[in-house]
Amino acid sequence: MPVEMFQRHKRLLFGGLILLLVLAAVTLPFLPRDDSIENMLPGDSGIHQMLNFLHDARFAGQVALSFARGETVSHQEFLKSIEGVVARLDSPLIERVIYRIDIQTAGADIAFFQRQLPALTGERGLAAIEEQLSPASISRTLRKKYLDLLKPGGSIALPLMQRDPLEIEQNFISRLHALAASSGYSIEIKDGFLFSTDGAHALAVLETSAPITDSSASHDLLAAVDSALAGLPPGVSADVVCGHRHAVSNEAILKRDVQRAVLIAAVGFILLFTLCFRDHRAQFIFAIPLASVLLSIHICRWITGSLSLFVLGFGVVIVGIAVDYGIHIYVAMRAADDPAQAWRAVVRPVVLGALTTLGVFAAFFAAGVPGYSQMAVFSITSILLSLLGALFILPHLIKPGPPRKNKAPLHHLSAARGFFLLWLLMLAALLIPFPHLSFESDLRALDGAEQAVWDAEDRFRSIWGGGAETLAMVVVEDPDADAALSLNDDLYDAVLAQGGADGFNSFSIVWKSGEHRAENLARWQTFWSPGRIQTLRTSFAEQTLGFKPDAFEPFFQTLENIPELADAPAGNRIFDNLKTRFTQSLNGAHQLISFFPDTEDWMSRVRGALGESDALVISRREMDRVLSTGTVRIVKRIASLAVVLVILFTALLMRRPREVVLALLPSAVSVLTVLKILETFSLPVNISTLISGIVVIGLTIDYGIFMVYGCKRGTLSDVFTAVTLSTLTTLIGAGVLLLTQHPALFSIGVTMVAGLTAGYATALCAVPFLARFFLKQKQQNHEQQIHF
Amino acid sequence: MSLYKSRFAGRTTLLCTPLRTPAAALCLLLLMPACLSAEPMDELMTRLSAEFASIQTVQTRFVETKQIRILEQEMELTGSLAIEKPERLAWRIEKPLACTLIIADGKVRQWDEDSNTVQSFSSRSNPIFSMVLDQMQNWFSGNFVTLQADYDVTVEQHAPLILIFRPHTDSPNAQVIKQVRVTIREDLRYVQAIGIEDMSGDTTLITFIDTVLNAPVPAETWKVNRHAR
Repeated sequence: MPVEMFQRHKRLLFGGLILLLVLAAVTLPFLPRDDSIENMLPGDSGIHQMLNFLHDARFAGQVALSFARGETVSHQEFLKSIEGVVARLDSPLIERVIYRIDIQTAGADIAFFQRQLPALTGERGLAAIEEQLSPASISRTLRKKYLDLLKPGGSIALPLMQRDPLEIEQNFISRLHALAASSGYSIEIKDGFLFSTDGAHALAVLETSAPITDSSASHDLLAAVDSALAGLPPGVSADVVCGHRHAVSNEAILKRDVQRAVLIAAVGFILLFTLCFRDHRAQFIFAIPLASVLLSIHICRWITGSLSLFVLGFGVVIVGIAVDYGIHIYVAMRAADDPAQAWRAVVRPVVLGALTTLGVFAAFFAAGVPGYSQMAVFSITSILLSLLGALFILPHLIKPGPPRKNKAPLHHLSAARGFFLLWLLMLAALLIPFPHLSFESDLRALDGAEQAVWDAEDRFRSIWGGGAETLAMVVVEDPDADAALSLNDDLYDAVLAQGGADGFNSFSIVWKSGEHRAENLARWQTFWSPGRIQTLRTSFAEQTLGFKPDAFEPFFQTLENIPELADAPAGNRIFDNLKTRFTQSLNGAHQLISFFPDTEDWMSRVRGALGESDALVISRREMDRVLSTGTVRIVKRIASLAVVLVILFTALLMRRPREVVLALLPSAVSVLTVLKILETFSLPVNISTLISGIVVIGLTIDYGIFMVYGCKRGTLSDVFTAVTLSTLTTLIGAGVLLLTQHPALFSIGVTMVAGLTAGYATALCAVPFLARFFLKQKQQNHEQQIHF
Repeated sequence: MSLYKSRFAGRTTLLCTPLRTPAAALCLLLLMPACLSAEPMDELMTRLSAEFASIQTVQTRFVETKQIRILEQEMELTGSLAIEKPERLAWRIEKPLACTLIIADGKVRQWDEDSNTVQSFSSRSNPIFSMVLDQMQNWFSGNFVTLQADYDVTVEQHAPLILIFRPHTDSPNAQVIKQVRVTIREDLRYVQAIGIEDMSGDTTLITFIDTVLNAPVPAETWKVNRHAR
């Protein structure tokens, strides 16, 4: 047999192999990883562009600290404790802490915008002012001012009233206020601090330079935050809400899950082989795929350039799959009188089984998505190495076992009929009613962060509101900062033209490009001609409410004294805060971000305003839709190709249509079962489910192939043993994923366990029974004994 | 004097002694201010705050006169005020224009007959407005100890007691208010009048009349659309 070719160089072969494995194991922890789930998302839909922006956006690195005051703590103590935390926040990663607003300074900051109002008021703004200049409108406005004087605090507003009776500045300040408050959070200022509406919580926002994708920086940042919070007095607590928490928590859980899964699977395999074969050499069956996976990790990293923990987690399943080849070889050879003959007899179904599985994973390339390709490379390499190891290395390690004993019959025809009827009942339960599922497109469903992280976010949302989650964004950019501002102005004006911009929060409201500000200023000067100002004075003088003739002189002076065009203010905190929120520089481009409600209506207005522009629009609703349709399209593509390849390989090697149909039966039932289980337990159909569902098809068809071979060749007993062991080992590999916390790994576990169990039950109960009739075996089937 | 006896019980045995002659009464009247002026301001404020602390509700009418620099004539307003501790306040102006301001449950609701619309917002959403509301609550509820944090207090007159509050120079109030003159009722139970002098020279005098203390406030008082001329 071909295996003999290695006989002469056995020592050299094993020595080299062991050295290679040691090297692979030692260098494993140092392999760089990319754990972002984005690798698994459709690549042809712009979703990566949206996600990349969200990842790189400055606000993605923000950390929110929500402080809660207990009943035993006074208001002043509470404020002091917040000051203490801010003072202790000592990390170069923290660039700025926003936790209080100085109202006195805010007044001076707002004054800058009031002075620059002529440069910030566009054509539409002037048209709106013109509407206010009719005698009726002026009379109405002044009566309102008179009424304001009656109200408590009327005197405080008097200087503003004198300077701005038509509320031109006031309207601008309202827009400014709306812009500042457009974060989606409910914040009130109390003693200069940012308080919740219930008055029991205060907020601090940390602007950081730590990207959430940078694991090391995320760890350092959170350590600094936790250290600062450690000094909080009793009665004051704080929730930390940020993307970094998710990244760190996901990484920790994935690592723990993978380690635990590998350990449990290893113990399970060793126990299983020890109990079944009572031969310590049987452990090589498990060792070969394990070594193959270890080598494949490095090969995959070398070929694809990256590796994610998600794919590594799938490695446990691969071990469970690939161990099957060794089992079939071991079972066939160990008890055989002529091992070489046994080897030759079993090679064909083993290779066929591997080919169908390889076909399934090869189909993953059709997705054109890096994550799927990575999984395909990893799986194919692991399976090929495992197959080669099982075929050419394992035989050297097998010692002849005791001769095959007379096997006790497990069931005869009557029992087989009973099992078949049970299987039919199961099939009926699966089909009635036919399962109906929808795809889970929410990426957060695959976020396996610890419960404490989610709880903190729920509390945060209930206290502060939904934040920016309910808002969509549109981003314009240009390498030149002023040109980017100009694009932003054009977009804002276009949205205004589409039917008003209330709800469209743009930086253009408070700052425009130099060219546009100069145009506005010139237009303002033309608008407020001496004649128009005189007419307005006359209208004011004609009022009968008892205002003195010079009551609104400050207003007229403002109109007559047009300000100089100013540059962007330095040290103006309102301007700086808004600039931080609405602008950013990324990869050499200046980006301006506008926010608007994430609704169909708004989306169509913004798209209408954008016209042919290639501005990036980011909408959570849109992302869900694109992700859902894109992923379903990819999975359909993979599934179709996988099914075609599986059937093709099966048909090529089995040839007879009836045999092919029988071999395919376990796969069909397993898919139905998975769907039914997911529906019954209200589990989501997500990317993990779909991928593992496809793998289930590839695996369960192996059961069908081997059982059909067993029935044809009268080796059903050995095949039954091998298929049962194969199922058990794969179930161990997949079953341990049921113990994981990470939703992506858990979904794989559920799908694989449900699918494999159903596929095995079908292979055991239905295939041999149906084979009696379909394959018309000469041998009397009731004499066929199945042994375990 | 029985009133002073009850209000100042325990302070001095002289007050508890029955007054036997008009001369003794005169002496006492002359001595009374001396007793009050001798009392440190902190103690006076604490005592007044304690007196006011027993007030849970206030329902009163008021007359407000305003002299505002941009108006030709003085404004005279009449209306009513209701307070229910800890944080409910209803301020209604009936003349010359009807308008209502109600603060309850952390919300402010405003109505006026011109617009005939109700504006509702959080009392903390506007820092300036929030400051005005805090001041109103403090003045009308007699939180003199709290006010001392922002104001220097002096006694202008003892019978009736008139206090002058001048904002600390570093207080935000100092930019707007020159002084507040608070006249306390003779029974020291409540404020009789509040006079506010702005930095610009504008003045406001609110005189409270028909004041009822600690009577249940009808629920409809807190409804913004209720307005009686």
